[in-house]
Amino acid sequence: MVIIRTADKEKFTVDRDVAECSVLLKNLLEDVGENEEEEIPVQNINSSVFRKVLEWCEHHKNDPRPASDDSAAEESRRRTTDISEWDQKFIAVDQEMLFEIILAANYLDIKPLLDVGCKTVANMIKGKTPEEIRKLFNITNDFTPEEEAQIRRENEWAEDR
Amino acid sequence: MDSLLDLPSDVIINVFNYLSIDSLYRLSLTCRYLHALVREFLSLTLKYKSRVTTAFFQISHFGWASYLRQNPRNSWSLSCIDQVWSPFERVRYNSISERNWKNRDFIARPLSAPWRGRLRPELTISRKRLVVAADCNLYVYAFSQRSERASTPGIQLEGLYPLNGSNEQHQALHDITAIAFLPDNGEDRTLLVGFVDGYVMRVTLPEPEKSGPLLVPELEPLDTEEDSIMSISVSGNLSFTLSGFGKGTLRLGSSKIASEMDIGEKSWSSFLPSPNAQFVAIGASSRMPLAVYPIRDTGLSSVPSAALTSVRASEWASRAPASAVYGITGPPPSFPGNPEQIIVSGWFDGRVRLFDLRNPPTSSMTATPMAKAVPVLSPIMSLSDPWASESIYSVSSGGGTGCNIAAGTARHSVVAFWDVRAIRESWSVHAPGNDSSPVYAVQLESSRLFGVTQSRAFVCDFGPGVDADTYPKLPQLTITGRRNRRGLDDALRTEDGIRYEVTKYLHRNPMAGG
Repeated sequence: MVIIRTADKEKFTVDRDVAECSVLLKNLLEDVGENEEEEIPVQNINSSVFRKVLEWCEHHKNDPRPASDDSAAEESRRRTTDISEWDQKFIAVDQEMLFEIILAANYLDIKPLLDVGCKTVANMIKGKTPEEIRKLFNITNDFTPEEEAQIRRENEWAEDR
Repeated sequence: MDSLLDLPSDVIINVFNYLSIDSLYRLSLTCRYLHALVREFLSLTLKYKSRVTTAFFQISHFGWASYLRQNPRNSWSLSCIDQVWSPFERVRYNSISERNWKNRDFIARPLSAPWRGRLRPELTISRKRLVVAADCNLYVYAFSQRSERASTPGIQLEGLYPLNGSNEQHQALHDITAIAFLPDNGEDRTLLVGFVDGYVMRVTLPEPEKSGPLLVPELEPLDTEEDSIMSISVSGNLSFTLSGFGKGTLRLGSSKIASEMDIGEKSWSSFLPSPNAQFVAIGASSRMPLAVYPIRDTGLSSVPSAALTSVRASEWASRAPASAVYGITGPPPSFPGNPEQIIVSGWFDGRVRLFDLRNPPTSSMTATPMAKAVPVLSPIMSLSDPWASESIYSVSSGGGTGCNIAAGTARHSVVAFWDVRAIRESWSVHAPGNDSSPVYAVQLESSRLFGVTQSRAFVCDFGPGVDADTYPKLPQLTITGRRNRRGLDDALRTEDGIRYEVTKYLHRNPMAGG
């Protein structure tokens, strides 16, 4: 067991193999060695998000770990935007939480979880008009009308026909 | 934390990996920042290509470049221009070509005025050149290496070189029957050429920069066979020549004979899949029309390691029909499986058959009572044009999304296309001129098909921006109407001098519904 302290000072006692889903934590744990009393701080993550991340790690703790240099597996992972049923339910959260989970996965270096998050964002973008995407993600249109028209002209070929 | 823009850029770039072209495009229309991420960073990468930093190297994987990396398109004739094009320009070109493939929309053109008489030409392609061998002449076409114009990179005639008379040892006027590029450190001027009289020569084309009245290729005879050379295949450092009597010669580099074999059948075609594959596939007129012969450390074996049959295994023993295989090639780039183990073949009965050499043999056969039994494989896919039963003379793989097979047939200058993901969408086209000729050779790439009939070399270009300067100018005796019906180029019609009329048809009967 290891003790992890989140940004809002909550302490989590976590199975070592669950924590090791995170490459960051795995490396940190190697450094602290067998000293189980030592708390590991994760400064950037709040307890509500960390609880969610732990839920994911708990469920996926027995998955084969992606090897960082396995480019073939990387490619096949990227080819598909399919998300497993469990992950779909897991990631069905409000947008703020989704972005927080993505940030946490990025910080903790949990590649498969980061991919689930990014695929979810990609699926949200698919099929939407620029205006719908702006609304969805709180993006302000800062193009001048002339710029926008120019970009549209340059990219007519990319439109689905 | 409720805007996408709050995520770090490397995470947003990770999202790009899962987006299609039109989604990427619509995302880039939302605001300046995302537009910049998708596109502008790339122009930076290009601008500073010469001093690429780590950061820029990573940037080159963003957006369009990332899309390109995951959707590679194979093209010989665009490989030079690829070094100049930005990923954006390349993706744009690919996307338009793919749409044109889907709509069967392309520009067909002859590459030259018609030849006299009925020839049996061959062609070969490299990164810099397309060489058409007709009679004893080499027509050398160079691919544009600069992109001065926004339109499609062009192809121009670099030289016409007769191979007769220029060499004391080969003065007779004999036709070229097989040709392939040899590796020469990217110069793309060295060819291995086989002749009807059995000669095999190494031919070095003159340097294009040099000018002078006596630009002639250098010829170096390597070998002579008793029969005409039917096929030459080159892969990496290996080359294989096949004579009509079935004598095969494997060379290392271009000269040293590594090994010889003799299958003793009327032979037509050969294919060396890759230097690592350690086999050569040979097509013959035989009861074993297509077989795979291992290349061992000790050399070529005359005993095949597998026979590739046209019939289902269960039918093999009762009827082992004699047939012939005239064209062999590898699978389309996007075809699933190990590309070195998949063979695409064109058959006498008008079918194109695909074999996967990893499949378990379905039975075995013995060529002679004394010989060892040879494992027999059945096809994994069999393609045909229901409106034509003519033999397939040539095959090539490639196409818009890397899923197409093109086959040149024995009559009416028909080329058939199959998309291996959507066989029902297959179709055929008559080459410009509509000769009653076989299509002797085809070369398919992502946006172009090159082919040769008895009268001319031709191109079907699915890419955007083809204009009057893209391809060699043709003599203006061609007709823009119905005049001059007795002329040689009678069937060649063009309205604008760019696009020549061709006849296309779908394999599935459009009247049958569904």
